[in-house]
Amino acid sequence: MDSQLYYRTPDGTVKTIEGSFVHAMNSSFGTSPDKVAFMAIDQAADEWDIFVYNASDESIINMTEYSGFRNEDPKWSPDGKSIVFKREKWNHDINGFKYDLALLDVESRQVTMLTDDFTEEAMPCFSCDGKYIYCAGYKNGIGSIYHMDLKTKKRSTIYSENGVNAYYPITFNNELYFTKWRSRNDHHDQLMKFDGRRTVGLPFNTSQHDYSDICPVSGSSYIYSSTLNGDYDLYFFNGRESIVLTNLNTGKNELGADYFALR
Amino acid sequence: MFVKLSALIAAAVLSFAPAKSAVQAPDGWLV
Repeated sequence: MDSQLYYRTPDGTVKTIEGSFVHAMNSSFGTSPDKVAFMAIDQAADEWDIFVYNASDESIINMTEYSGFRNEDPKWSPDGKSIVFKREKWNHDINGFKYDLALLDVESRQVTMLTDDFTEEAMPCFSCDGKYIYCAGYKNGIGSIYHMDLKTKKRSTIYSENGVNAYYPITFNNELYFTKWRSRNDHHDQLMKFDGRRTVGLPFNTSQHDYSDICPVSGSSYIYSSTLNGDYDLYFFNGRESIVLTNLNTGKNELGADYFALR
Repeated sequence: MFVKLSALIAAAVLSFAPAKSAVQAPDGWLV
């Protein structure tokens, strides 16, 4: 693993977000393009933490410093006041790690646990109205998509397919996107859209390649990562056809991007 | 004659140039 985080502004300027951490990844824009949450290994604490980068003054704050836990997969709430993430704790009863969801209050840095069970929950994100958390839940290594009412903590299954891994839910315009295997025998990742009633594959999916980590630009145009040219590169689909974002791709795998529209 | 030949070559190059994709990358921030 050797990941770096790149920040591109609308004028095409690209800078690397750097600090006293390594392996920065899985970034998420807040209510403005100036605020970016991401996960990285804090070099002093030697643990995965949640960081917030402020582009206006280029400051970086470790929000979960010296927590003693592994903190991953941050996503902002729609109001920008909190960040939902995955927290991994060692559990003596099972002699292994326990994976739960947690909510970070950005101002106070207080963390509230949202789940406390032996199912692995991962990759949480808020619904567009901020009332629900979507996540991937794993049983026997196979992920399904769930959502949880933040008030009642009631959980329901959104997508589950026998033997098929489904993960990385993302919400946009009251619709849900996620990645799943083509079938239990074909583990190529495909990008899916759930409109509240039906789940459909996105039109650019092809067999023999992987598609993941979607960033909706509109209800029908998306930035995504794909192995169409070998390693993962970034592509843009405008509703009819896709282009490879050549000026954004490097020799590494481009994954876990987020997009903030120019308004 | 030279001018006409240049124009012919330019026209030939244009007609054989691959059609550029109409897809434009979106403006905005990416991280």
